[in-house]
Amino acid sequence: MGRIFSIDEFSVFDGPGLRMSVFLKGCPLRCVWCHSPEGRSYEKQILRAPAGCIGCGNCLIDGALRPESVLRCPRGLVRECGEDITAETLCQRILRLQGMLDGVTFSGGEPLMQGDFLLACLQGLEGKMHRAVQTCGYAPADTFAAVLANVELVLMDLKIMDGAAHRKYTGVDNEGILKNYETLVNSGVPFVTRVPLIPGITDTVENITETATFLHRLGVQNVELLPYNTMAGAKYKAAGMVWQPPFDEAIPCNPRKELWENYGIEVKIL
Amino acid sequence: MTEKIKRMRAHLMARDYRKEMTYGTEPLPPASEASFAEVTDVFLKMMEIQSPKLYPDDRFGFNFTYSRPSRHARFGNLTPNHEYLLRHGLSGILSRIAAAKERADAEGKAFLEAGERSVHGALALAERYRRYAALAGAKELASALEQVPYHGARNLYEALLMIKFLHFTLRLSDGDHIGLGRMDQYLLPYYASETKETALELIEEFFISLNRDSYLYNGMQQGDNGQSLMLGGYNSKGEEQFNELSEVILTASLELNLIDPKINLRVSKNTSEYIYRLGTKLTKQGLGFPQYCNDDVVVPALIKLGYEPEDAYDYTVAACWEFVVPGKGADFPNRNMVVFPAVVRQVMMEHLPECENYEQLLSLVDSAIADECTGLINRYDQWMTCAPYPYFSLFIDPCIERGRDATHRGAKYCNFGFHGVGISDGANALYAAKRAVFEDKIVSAEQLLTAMERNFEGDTALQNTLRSYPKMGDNDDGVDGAAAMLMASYSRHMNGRKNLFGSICRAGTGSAMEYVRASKHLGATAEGRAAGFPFSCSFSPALNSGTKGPLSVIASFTKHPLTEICNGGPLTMELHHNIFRNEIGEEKVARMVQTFVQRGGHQLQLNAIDPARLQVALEHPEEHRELIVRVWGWSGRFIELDPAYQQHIIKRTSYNI
Repeated sequence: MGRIFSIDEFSVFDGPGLRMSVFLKGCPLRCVWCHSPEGRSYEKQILRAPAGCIGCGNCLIDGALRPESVLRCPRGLVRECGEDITAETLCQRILRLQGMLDGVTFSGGEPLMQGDFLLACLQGLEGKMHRAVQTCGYAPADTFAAVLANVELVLMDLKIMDGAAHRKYTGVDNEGILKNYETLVNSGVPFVTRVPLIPGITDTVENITETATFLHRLGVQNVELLPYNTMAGAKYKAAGMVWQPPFDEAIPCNPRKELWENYGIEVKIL
Repeated sequence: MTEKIKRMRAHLMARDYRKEMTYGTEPLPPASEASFAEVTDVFLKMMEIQSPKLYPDDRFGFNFTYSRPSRHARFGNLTPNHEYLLRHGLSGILSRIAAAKERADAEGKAFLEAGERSVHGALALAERYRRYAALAGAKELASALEQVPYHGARNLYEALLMIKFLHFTLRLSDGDHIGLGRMDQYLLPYYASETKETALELIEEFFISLNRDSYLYNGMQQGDNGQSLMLGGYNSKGEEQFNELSEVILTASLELNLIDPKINLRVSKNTSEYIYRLGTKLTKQGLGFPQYCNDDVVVPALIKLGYEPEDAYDYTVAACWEFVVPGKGADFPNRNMVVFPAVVRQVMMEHLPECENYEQLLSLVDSAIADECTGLINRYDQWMTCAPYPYFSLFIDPCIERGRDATHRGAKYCNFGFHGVGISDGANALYAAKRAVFEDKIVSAEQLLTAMERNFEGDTALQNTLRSYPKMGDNDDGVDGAAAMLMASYSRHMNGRKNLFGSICRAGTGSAMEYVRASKHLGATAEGRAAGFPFSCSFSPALNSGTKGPLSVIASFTKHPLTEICNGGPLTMELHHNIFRNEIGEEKVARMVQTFVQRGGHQLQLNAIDPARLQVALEHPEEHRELIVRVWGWSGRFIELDPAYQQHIIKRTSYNI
């Protein structure tokens, strides 16, 4: 049994071909730039769309939004986010579109946080379509290795190289992440390295130099850069959370293409 | 774009030239009882009032300088026989008229004489333009007008000039929604002596001229003017007809980024990814075209209805999406409609409590649809009730040879088409009733109907539950089965049936503007739709159904074979413009369109929308004057649309990433 919060049938940037992305709920990280408030927590959440809300208050039960609120909104703006589903059912749902899909990508949140469920899904789809996993790499080494043995592609993030800075901006250490990344590179499994460009945090000369050095040592020659999404805060209000990034969203991020190229790394900006 | 084109485009967009337009009321449009002679008098006067006018860089002329309201019962949604005129000119038409007069009866003679007089009037107009051009130093135009329109065209410029002239005069004769047909086919012989660059510039000039006077044309709203053209297609041997000229035309549209002409593209499961990529580049522009039409479905559908195979293979679209045969078809493809949500609601109101099971309900709906269809089929005891159009009829075959105006069934094909409004809404309602009353049994039939009558006042929980049931577009076999039942019923009771005067009736999946109009008067429906809330646009998921994604939508809408419900009526999908931001996204959209076609979809129109921008455009229209969106079969400037249609587009499900 696992918990997902969204399925995107027409996922454009998460792998090759016509692709579906399945988003697993819950993430061990708390990146300050995260655009997915509903992906962070494993717990189910009640979302209420702010646009169209007439403020009738019908949705509030004892002053708060609860699962029963879903039926009480006259405009249908309230929904419960987080669906419990077995691997078997999820695979069936994915395979319903088998004739139209080239592949599926498991993302989130952090899909490896539900390691057993993820593996069951991957195994259920073996030989039936191209399987990819999008991960931040923060997971036990054995879980990570098990996933590697059951996918055709891994998309992995490298966010911040400095341990202290990583802890400050994502809430966790990066030692395990970097070890898992090395395992990935040496595994022979096709992979894509992604670096989110957050102004003043990840796009600094220091971070990019350290990242490029690390990649160069491992013989990696390609990286995809994800410019910061200024719509990141868009879903926070609906989730009843406050969006307060500790960086200036107005500053454009700097891909520093030439810096990467100094290390023989080709850059693709998504 | 060359410098000249940039200048011409800027001149067009500045709109200053519109200030020179003169308006009036004379000559009064002919009444519906008008004779051939009276109609022709009006036409000749309209031509005489126009003063020849050339804009800077304008090589085509034939511009409106005077406008008055046109006829109420307009005649149009047709594509004239361009090919014949290009080859033989008006002299060819005159020869045919002379030959036909010899064996014509009284009515035929009256028609043909009116046609002849009209042609001479048009030639006089052309001559005035020739003289004006010579005096104004417009040598190319003056020289070309010594050849066309009397003789056939000798090169691409003369061919385009002939078309411009034809469409201008057809408009002056109060013709409407005049299609450009398969330009990449009938212009191909004239392309041979051009280079890609010279052809591109000429086509771009021509396209700009099509956009200049379109604000004067009749339509439901700005943009609805029927200037549609068709590219590509397959012949009876299965050979690809998309050619180098097709690509030049697409490039012209891409570079100019204008509303007209609306580009349609005939494809099949054999169409190359390259062509789908070209189409997608145009979609990315956000103009709402190309509209894809699937030969694999449409050609067999037309043949099944009784169209001759060689004509079926030659199909184009009328104004929006109705399939017609160019030059021979005077079909009336939007004669009327069946409004499915209304039929379903009526049956429920009258009979749901007495239904013991879902099958009984379906059976009653089938009977109701049968009655609707019979009523519509028998309603029309006349082909058309407007005054004749002798000039227009000269370009629809075989009116001349038959000696009959197109309004008197002179054309080869005079069939009727009927829309199918709100198929997904009707299916959603049926399925919701099935679940709520018969399966989950959360309410009795009476309780459901009472809630509907009260517009769900005090029944929010029930309304939300009904809203939560699978909808058409979710790829759910239950609700898709309800849709299949509605479509099969409509096909069975309408498609291919002959009416009182022998016209074949064509069932379709389109809605035209009725998705807003007809919905206003319909009370709340079983799937949780509130009273007055709009239906889906043509063949699409219901508004606010929040579907699972484009692939599920495609799966739902290609589950039921569409060859027997093929009057026209596209699946409309909105894609977030972000998807197109690089090559990867473009490639995937192209593949998605290909998938739709391979699965047997018949017609598809895609909007590339930025929903945020639409909201901003509402607040600051002056800053978003050129924002274009696809409405129901044509594209329009968003800020010029009626608010109800603006809201509909904003609400339509947008597939975000």
